[in-house]
Amino acid sequence: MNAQLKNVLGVIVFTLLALPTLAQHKIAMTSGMLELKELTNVAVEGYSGNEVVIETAGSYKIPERAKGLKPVNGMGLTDNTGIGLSVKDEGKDRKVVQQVARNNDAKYLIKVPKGVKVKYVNSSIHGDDFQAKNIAGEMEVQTLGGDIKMIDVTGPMTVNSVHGNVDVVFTNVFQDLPSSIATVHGDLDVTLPKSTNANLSLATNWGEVYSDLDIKVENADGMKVYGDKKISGKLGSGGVNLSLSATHGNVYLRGK
Amino acid sequence: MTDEMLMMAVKNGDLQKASELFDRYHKPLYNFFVKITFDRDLGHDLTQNVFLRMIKYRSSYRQDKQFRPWIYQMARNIYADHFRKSKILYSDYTGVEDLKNRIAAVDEVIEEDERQKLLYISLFKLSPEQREVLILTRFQEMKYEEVAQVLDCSVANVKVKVYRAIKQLREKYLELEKI
Amino acid sequence: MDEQKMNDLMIDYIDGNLTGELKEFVTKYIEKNSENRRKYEELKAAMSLLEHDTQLEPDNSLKTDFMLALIEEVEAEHDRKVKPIKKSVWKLSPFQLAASLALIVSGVFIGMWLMKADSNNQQIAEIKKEMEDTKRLVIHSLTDNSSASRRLQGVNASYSIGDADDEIVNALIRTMNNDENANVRLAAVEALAKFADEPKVLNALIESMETQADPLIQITLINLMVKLKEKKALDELKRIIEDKKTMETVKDEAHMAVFKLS
Repeated sequence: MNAQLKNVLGVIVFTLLALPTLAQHKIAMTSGMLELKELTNVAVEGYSGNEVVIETAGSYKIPERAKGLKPVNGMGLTDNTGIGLSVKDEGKDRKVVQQVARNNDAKYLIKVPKGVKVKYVNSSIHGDDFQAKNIAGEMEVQTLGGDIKMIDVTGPMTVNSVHGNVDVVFTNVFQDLPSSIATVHGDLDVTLPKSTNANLSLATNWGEVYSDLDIKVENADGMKVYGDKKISGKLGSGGVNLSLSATHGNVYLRGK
Repeated sequence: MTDEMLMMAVKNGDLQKASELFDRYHKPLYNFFVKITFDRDLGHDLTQNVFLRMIKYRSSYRQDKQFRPWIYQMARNIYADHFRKSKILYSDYTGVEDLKNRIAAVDEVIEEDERQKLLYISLFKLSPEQREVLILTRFQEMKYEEVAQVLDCSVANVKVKVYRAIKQLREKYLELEKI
Repeated sequence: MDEQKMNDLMIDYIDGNLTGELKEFVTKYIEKNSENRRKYEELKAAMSLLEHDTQLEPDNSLKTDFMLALIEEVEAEHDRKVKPIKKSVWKLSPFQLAASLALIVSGVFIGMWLMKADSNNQQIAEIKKEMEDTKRLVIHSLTDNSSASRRLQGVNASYSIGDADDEIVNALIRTMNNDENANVRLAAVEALAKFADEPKVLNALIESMETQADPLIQITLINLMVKLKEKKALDELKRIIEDKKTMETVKDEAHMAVFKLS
């Protein structure tokens, strides 16, 4: 068999294997916190259901030889989902999802019911991007290397990254609790509805702040201000605190 | 935050915002009252009344209404009420002693500025209505449009009042110089 | 042009509000004859007299009286709308918490005024108690494990307490060092920076550089030391540079800081 044919066959076998194993795992929960710990490639999407649904978007495959076995990792975690993840209860209201088998191309698409808080932590410098879409609840996101993209979200959120760019598009800004977004080396790009009411704090040490929104900048009335650029001001009539900072990068604040 | 936003917040139950409006307006209003009534204690009380009324009638504030004319209108009603009750027009005071006392109430630095003294004596000799229009337009530098709202008349009418009041002030001043 | 319009124009002219043709027109009018000139001079003299007005200062009791009246109104409103704040902090809605925090702001503010006027001790006692209650709320919200945003709100609320309050400062230091969420720790650093002229707070900030492992917080603290021109931080900065575990990006920042501070 020549090499080319081998490749073609490989692809066919791969496809046949992959199709039936488009796997799914469901966790019944409508409140509390879903913590995604050190997952490499994750997209989270809000929906109005009553269970968390984790789907593998790429190919999750285990070697032929491992059939009937479960991946185990150094932290003593075992795959209890069939898709390379470990789901654990931590306290009453918290489910922790961790990756057990690291070396695969699995991409996880996670559907989250409204009312479930999402926490995502990835402390790898090679971490992949984190994406969130259509989430109306609280989110905590932390990455070291990966970019963070959040679309159609409301906050409250606490988001931080060291090397990642952070893009957030708000549908509206949740008013009861504050949000804070910070990145050290990445750029921060935030889009808000033009009619947003918020108390803004924008900061960068080495970058610039750009905006097309009408920010009513407040005088630094004797308050100690540090950081080379620190802008406090109101959007609209003022409201919940929204703190945006990019130490080395730029802050882009857009109205829509 | 604009005055209007603050007042809307007060209207919607955030009463703390009233203290911000107090900070912005209590001095101008106090000056407005004292220079019309030539009575510091009364000016104090009337200023107080304005803000109590502002809180009490907060629900009557409408978003599309400019705050400054609105609060001055309230101030005007308050001293009109006061005059009606006490039935005294301050221009009725003519005694020399009374004049001295009243001017002293307004002018703390009489010794230092002769012209200031002359201004307040001349002002005292005007009618309250003339004092009012000069206080609003010249001392507090309100726009004619705003004053028109406060006095509930046309801008042209405000201008006429201003001109007449200035002219009258001039005459009172010249009378003083003759003494 | 009728006389009144001319009078109005003349006032605008003296106020310097006219330009161009209109200004020229009035100038010509004034220069036309001696009567016009006299009219102009008189008006000008009267208007310059009006400039001798001076702003009178009300005494402090005006503000005190107003604030007392406002407290009464707020309390009346409070009784009408909000249940007592005695119940468990955990059950407080964000709205109620916000309302309580608003009270602390006014509490401090009103308190200051009342002290100044030295009147009505009972009111002061009540306000102090209210502040105390609200302080408890802030401290409790800082320990709310169920929501990072709630804890962030607690940190933000601490700003409304003007002077460094020992308990609040201690709670902020705990949050800066121990909170699991970097954004919350970052906010705590920023809140504490406000009190950095207090030796206790400054020491806590410097010590925290040693324990923080998150680059975001490390860099924030390093930049804060530069901003404060705090040479006491130099030893700690050098330690950070020598520490093998320190990330390169943090080391770069520390190098820069050492350069700026020495």
